[in-house]
Amino acid sequence: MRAQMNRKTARVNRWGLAVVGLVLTILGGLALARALGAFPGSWSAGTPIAGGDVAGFFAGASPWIWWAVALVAIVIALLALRWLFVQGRRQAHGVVRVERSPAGVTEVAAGGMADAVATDAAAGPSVLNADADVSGPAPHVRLRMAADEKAPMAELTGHLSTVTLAHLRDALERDHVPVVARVSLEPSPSQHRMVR
Amino acid sequence: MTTRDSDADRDRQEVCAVPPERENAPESEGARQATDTEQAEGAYRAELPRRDRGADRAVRRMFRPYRRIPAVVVAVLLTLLGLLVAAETISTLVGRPLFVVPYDRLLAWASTTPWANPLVALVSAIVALVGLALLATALVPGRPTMMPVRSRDPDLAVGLRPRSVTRTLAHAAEEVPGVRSARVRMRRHTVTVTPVTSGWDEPEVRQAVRQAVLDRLAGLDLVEPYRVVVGGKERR
Repeated sequence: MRAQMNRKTARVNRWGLAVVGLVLTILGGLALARALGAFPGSWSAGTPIAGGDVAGFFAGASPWIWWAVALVAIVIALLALRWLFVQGRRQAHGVVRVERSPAGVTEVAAGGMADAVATDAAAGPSVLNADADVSGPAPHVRLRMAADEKAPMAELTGHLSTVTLAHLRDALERDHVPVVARVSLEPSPSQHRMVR
Repeated sequence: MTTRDSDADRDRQEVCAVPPERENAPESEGARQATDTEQAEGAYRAELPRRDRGADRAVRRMFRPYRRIPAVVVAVLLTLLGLLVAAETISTLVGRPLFVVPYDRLLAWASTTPWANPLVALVSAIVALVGLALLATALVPGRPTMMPVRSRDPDLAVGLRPRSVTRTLAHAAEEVPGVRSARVRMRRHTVTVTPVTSGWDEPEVRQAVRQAVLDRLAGLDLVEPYRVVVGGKERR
């Protein structure tokens, strides 16, 4: 389980946009081609948009065609609603599952875990402050940190992976806990110290 | 790198600090210089394990944009459209039509207007263009929102805020004696530093600025290689 596991939303978004985009491109392209007179015969540009055959089709297939239209519309609306709710998936669970045994499941409150992770991360070399979010049930961690701009980043990533992540893996009894850290750099505090 | 057999290439890949796919790119020279300096400068780097390509790729992917805004807009519009169509058809079927949209007039217009009407062409062209734009947002991976840092741990993705990076590089340039201030711009894989110098020893100062920025850049340990250019003469 790598860090990209919590990019499910991104994948869903790209698929959704691709499908809608493809449908609109095909429909728009066909209509444009017909309007510009690309098709011969009954599809020629001279025929009315909703001519006799279109009206005849709907009249012949009535009323079940309208039930079908309504059904398709409801399915589309439900899918789109679900797509919408997926956007907020990241803060979904306040509980992290630690262990699943025949006796039951151990769960840890994500909030307390987050404080511990933040304290751990803030203890790293050149870290000025750190803030963490833990979400579950399969735990993943988001860190926001500020670091001294002059310090080598390799020390910070080293601390995160050998200390913070190691503690996390121990605490959660898991081999893999994906961690994403967003780091901003601040000027060295020493530069701004007042000299009297 | 011209035609060589793949084994030689693979050997090269093991030794070389710059990813081989970037070898032929124009930025490779600066990037190689950056790694040269980081090997020469940073003794602390010697102890670190070698970079992990899989982890690098994972980090890079991690910070790609989520496409949240276009997704929310399209999803909201689709929901509304679906609900509208469903409400209208069902209400009509049940015998109590809502008719939010004036269908009679629409139908009258559509049954008398031919496809050749310029309005039809315009609307379908707009629909097709919107579709193409959505396809592009879906298929183009997009610029990362954070600049990925090497982590060597597949579970750990670290990214730097781009604004932080440009600011720290500007600070690095400003610490060079003879530089009053510096501006830094980043485009793709090029960092352009524009220092305002006091005018003495111009070439030396520019060289020192370049070196200072390269050193700071090496310390940031970014996944992507960057070329450093000391730009424009802003002498005062």
